[in-house]
Amino acid sequence: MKIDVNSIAKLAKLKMNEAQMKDFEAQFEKILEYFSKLQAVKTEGVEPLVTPFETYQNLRDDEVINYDSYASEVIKSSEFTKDRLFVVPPVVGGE
Amino acid sequence: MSFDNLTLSDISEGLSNKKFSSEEITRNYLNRIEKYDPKLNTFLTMNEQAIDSAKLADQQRAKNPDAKPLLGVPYAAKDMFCTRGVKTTAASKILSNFIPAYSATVIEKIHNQGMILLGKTNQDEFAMGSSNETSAFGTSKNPWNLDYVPGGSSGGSAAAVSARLTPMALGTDTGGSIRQPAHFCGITGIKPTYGRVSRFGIVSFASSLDQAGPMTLTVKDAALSLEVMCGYDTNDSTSAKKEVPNWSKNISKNLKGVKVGLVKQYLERTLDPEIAKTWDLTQKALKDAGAEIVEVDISMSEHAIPIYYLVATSEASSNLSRYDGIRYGYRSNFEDVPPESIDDFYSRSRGEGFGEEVKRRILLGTFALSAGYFDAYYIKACQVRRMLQDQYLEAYKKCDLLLSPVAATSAFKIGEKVNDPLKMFLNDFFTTATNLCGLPGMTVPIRKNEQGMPIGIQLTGKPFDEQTLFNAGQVLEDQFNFHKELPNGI
Repeated sequence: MKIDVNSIAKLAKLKMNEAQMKDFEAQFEKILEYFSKLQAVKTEGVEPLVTPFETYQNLRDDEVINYDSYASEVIKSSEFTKDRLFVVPPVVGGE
Repeated sequence: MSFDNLTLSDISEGLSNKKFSSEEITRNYLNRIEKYDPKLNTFLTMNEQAIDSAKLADQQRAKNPDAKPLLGVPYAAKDMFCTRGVKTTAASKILSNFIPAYSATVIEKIHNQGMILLGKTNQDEFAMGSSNETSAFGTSKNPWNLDYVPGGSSGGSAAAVSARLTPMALGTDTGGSIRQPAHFCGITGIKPTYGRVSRFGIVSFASSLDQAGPMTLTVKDAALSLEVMCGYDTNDSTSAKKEVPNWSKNISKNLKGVKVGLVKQYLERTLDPEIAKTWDLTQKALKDAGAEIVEVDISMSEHAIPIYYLVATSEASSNLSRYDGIRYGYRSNFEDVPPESIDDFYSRSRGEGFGEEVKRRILLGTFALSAGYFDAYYIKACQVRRMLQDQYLEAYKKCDLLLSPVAATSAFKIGEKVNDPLKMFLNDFFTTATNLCGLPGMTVPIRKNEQGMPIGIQLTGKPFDEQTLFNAGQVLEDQFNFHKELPNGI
């Protein structure tokens, strides 16, 4: 099966050059061909397993926690800041 | 005294008996790193506070003779673990300048014991890879032969422990990333049961598969380290509310009545003769210790690779959508060429920040989750995943643990598989089912092949039964004594 890498890359928000997309297309065809043997497994009525142990899902109490003291540290992770704000370039247009 | 080849337990004992100080032992490791790391490329960032922390540990120990046993013992952490104030990159350009504002719960727990962080170790980018070759900061090398990969993704951690640059290193394991590099580098590594260790503060790859674990020279060291890493954490709803046993104290080498399973489908596979021989030798060793060998049928294991790569890439495509170049991480240069749209802003930053393997996996996952293919790929994979888990749990009614190879070969040469992603994926055949089913799995080093490269063996246990792995692992360690051999590639 062939994947339209260009449209998947748009969904995934990844800009790539034509050569790389072409390489991926050829690789994905091989990979999906190998994966296609899964399709032969009869799975009618089988509940999908999305996490190993569904029996526990330990939620904590929904309490307000004050993270103000973190803000000054968190903002340090970006090179593009002004005061306590993140700065982005003007973006005009697009979908 | 000579500090060569000390285990974590030796160091703990030496500190307690005042044979050496934490400062001395920490300096010893930092000196070794300075000497050998230029060849090995195992460390990405050093902890500038290490010596100060060691001095503090020495003062604490002087005041309190009954101090915690790991107080002042050095360790290293894979660069997937957030370390407050110390750069955490996941070996990716997109996080190359990221300094976390908080530490992972595992790191906090280890620091509460007083352990000293030496530095952060190299890995495959975002833990996606089986050879360390996808790191944005150069491949780490195998200390047994520098032409070979250390395995992946926790390759830097495995190589560092093997080269005695640290007595313990933290790894993460999503599809074999602790066990396979442990096998390639001749050390012990355990991935505990899913939920044992909090994932909070560990860079997310595939949330239903990721677990952290220790990589050490010996089985006892792995048990000692894991004990302080586990436990329920309010910051991770998938962490288990289970008591953490005293594994290291309870290790028993009497395997009488223990049933060791061999997966029929694994027996039918073509293996490197040295791997097959190692498998035979370890069966015999376990039998000699009283265990009984039984065969179990897990036909769905044949599908582990497609299930794994569909589930892991789908979860990764979702997890890695957070890297948008706005609040942290790499941002493309928009000064010269302004963004055409918000999509262009994201796409350029992500396209330039992620490496090839990460893009490949994000794309595969995005495809598997996309409209029209979701049921046929993602849901199908999750259904077969349940059938696989059912078969494993059924097999565990006939045996207490499984014994298998870790990989079909020992370490391969740098560059050998890097251009064939499917070949690289297939390398993970023996390790991925463990993560898909949430089971604990451990690698114990056994012997060397004719080329002098290490070979380990894999033990896989019932959910939350790490003890049986430690018991059987100790039997194998005592029989083969591989931890006494020093790598001769450096």
